[in-house]
Amino acid sequence: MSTTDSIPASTVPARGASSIRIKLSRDDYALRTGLVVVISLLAILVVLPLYSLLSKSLEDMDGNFVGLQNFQEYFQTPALLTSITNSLSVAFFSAIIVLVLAFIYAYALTRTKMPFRLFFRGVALIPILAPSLLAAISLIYWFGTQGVLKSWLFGASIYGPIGVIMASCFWVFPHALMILITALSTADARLYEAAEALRTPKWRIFWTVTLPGAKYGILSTGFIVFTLVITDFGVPKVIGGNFNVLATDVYKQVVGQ
Amino acid sequence: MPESKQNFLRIDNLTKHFGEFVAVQELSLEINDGEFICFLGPSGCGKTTLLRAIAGLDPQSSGSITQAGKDISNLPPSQRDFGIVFQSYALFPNLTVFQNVAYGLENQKIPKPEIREQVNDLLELVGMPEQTGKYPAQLSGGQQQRVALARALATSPGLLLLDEPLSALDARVRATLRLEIRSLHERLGVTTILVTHDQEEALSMADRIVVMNEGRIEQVGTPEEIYSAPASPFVADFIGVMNFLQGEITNSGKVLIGENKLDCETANIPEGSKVRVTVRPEDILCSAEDKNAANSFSVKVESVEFLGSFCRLILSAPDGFGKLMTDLSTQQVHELNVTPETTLTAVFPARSLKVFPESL
Repeated sequence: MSTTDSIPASTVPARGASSIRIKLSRDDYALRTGLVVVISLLAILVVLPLYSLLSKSLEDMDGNFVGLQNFQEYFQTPALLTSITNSLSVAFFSAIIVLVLAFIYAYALTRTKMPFRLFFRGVALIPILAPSLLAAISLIYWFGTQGVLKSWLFGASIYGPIGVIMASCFWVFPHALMILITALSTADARLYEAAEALRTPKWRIFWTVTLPGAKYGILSTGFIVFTLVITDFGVPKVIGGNFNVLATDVYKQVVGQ
Repeated sequence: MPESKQNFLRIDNLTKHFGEFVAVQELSLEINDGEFICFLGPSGCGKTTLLRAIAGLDPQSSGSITQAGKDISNLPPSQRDFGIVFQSYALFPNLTVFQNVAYGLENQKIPKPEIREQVNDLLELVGMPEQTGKYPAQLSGGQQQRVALARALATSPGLLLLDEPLSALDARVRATLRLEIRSLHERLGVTTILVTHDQEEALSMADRIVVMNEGRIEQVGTPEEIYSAPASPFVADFIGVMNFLQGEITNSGKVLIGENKLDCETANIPEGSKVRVTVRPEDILCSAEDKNAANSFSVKVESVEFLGSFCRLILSAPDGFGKLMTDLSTQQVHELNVTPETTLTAVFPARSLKVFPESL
C-alpha cells in the first residue's frame, strides 16, 4: 500500500498508455553484465587490431598519410583478379564435391543398415582436428614429384588447383559430414512410415521426404565448406605452387615475398 | 482358403518384445469386416505396438496376422492393405494439401485428371474443400488431421489404422472430429482400428472395445458391456469411475465388509475368499430418510464437488467401506440440501454390485 500511496498522481500513466515496465530480475542484471564483458573483450581482441591494421593501409612506408592510394595500387595489379577467380572457383568446386560425397556418406550412416556404421563414422570424423596443411602434405607424399601414385594424375601436377581442391575436400569433409549426419538423423520417422504405407518407391521417398527434410542442413553445409575453403591459407600455401588465391595474397602483401 | 465376411482380420498368438521387455504377449483377436474397433489402455499397455505390428511397421516377434484370408505376417508395409493416421499428423511439410492427398494415388500411376477428381472428392469428404493450395504449416491441428485422414483414405485401403489421431487436439476439435470420423466410417464401411488411451473416445466411437493392460487383452466387448459388466477389476477401474470395497464372502450371496453384510451376486466364489466389490458412483442411491431397504447404510457427506450438471460427493461410510464417491444431479443436491456434514442414507442395489476375487 505504502508504495502506491507515495506515487504522485501525475506519474500514474494515462489509461491505455503502454507504460508498464517489468522490474529487472537478478538474471537480467547478470546477463547485461555478461554482455558488457563480452563486448569489451571483442573490442580489444577484434576491433582494435583491425583498426591498427586498416589505419596502416592508409599510410605509406614511412608512416605518412596517403589516403586510398595503397588500395588503388593493389586493385590495379592484374594478379588480383586471378586470385579472386582462383579463390572463388576453388571454394565453389570444393563445396560441390564435398556436399555430394558427404551427403552420400551421411545417408549411408543414418538411413541404411550398413554394417560397421559406428566404425565408419569414427574414421570419417577423426580428421576434424587436423590442420588443413596436413591434408596438403599427405597429398604431396602420395602425388608429389617423388610421390608413389604420381602416375595416377595422368601427367598433371598436384601442385596447383587440382591439389588445392583435393586437399581442401579432404580437410573439410569431416565438418560437412557432422552437420549432414545431424540433418539426416533428425528426420521425422513418421514421414517415412506414412510414405511407405502409401506404397511409395524408395527413390520417391528420397526426393519427397529425405531431401526436403535435410534442406537446411545441406544449405548450411554448403556455406560452411565454401567459407572454410575460401579463407584457408594452409592448403594453397603448401600445395598451391604458383596458384595464387586471396589468402596467400594477403600473406604476401603483409609479410612480403 | 475360406474367406468369411465375418472375419476380416485375425491375430493369432502375437508376441512382440523389445529386448527383455515384452510389449505384447500371446495375444489373439478377431476383427469383423466393417467393424470400428478401439484398442484402449493406459500408456505402455502395448496397444500402439499391436497396431504397428498389424501395419508391419514394427513386425511381431512371433505369431501370425491374417487379413482378408491372406497371411500378411511377413509382408512389408508397402505390400499390406491399410491406410494409417498418426497422432503427429505426419503430413509432408514441403507438399501442399492437394499434393499430400494425391501422394498415394500418384504412386499407383493413375492419370492426372482422375487424381484431381478423387482428391477433390476426398477433401470434400473430410470437410476441407477450399484449402488445396495451402501447406501443412498454414493449417490448424484439426485441419491437418483431416488432411491426414484424406491421405490415408485416398488409396481406398481395406483397413484404416488410427494411432491416437485426436490426442494432440484440443477438447472442442476432438469432439467434432470424433463424430466426423464415426460418420465417415458409417458412410465408407472401412474396417477401422483406433488406438486411444481416452476411454470417453473409445466408448463413444467404437463398435467393440479391446481393453489392454500390460501386453494382454483384459476384455473385448461393446462399450455397453465394458462399462456395465467389466470382466476384471482393471477394466472396472480404468473405464469410468469406480468405488472398490474390500471384503470377504461369508455365506453364499453375502459379502462381509467391515462389520456389515452386503447382499450381492457372488457367483461361484468359495466361502471365506477375500473379494473386492465394485459399485459405480451413479449406482449408489442417496436419500434423506431411512429406507430400511437391503444394503442401506447411513453415510456422512465429507465434501461436495460441483461439476456442472451433477455434483460428486465424497462420503464417509461405516467401517470397512472407506471413502466412497457418488454422483447426484445438481437438482437432487438442492432438494436434499446437501452440504458437508449432512447425513444421508445410501442404498447399494444388489444388481449394481460386482464381486471380484482378490487374486484377479
